[in-house]
Amino acid sequence: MTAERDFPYAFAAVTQARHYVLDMLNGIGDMVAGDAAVMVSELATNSVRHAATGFTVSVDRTTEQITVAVADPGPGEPRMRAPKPTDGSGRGLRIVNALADEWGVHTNSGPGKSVWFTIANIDERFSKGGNGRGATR
Amino acid sequence: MEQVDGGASAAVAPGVDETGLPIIRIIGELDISNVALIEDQLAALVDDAARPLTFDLSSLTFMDSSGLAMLLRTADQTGPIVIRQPTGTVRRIIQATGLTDVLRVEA
Repeated sequence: MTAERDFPYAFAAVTQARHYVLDMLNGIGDMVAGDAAVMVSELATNSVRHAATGFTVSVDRTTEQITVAVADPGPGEPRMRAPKPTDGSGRGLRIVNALADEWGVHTNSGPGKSVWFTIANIDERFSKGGNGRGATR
Repeated sequence: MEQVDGGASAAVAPGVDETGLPIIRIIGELDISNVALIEDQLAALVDDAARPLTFDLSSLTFMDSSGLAMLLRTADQTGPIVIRQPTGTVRRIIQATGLTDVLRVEA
């Protein structure tokens, strides 16, 4: 299943993008949903703060893994930084790097880029988490 | 809970834990859409609160790096903060960002 939606340039669009992804991941288990929610929130926040544009969120869900991408027309490639505790920002991609199985950046020939992440082995996480879906196997 | 223009809803309130020690509860969802509003409400409570400043985050269903930055700005004024009962994802983002000395997570 693949779906995508456009969001406007607004702080509230970050909340709405997160709720959209959670709707698409309905029934998937708390840990996967929670991690996906924080990662999409970080990427959407980057689009709003740094690209200063609207953005598009796509969600691809299979039985094995989910892939979520946030695309915006802003120039430049996002970089992972190492902020000090006193720094007010710069932690978004570090969080994505820690929680995702894989992540990366697609750049287009023109301006704009898409930052994506995957969470893999979703069935396995269900079993380990004691979720009912794993127990029925 | 207050909501900002279609964004996240959250509230902050002083309270006491089961042993009578003062804590601050944040409930709801915290992201870039409402962090300024919640930080204003928090600022009104921080001066009179006990140290170490202790938060109960058991009903904070979502927080990202915008919320982390708010807690770090608060810790800059008060010293290290104690975080009680965070959700798994909140716990993981505190660990992932190397902030466990400043944001001390308790079960």
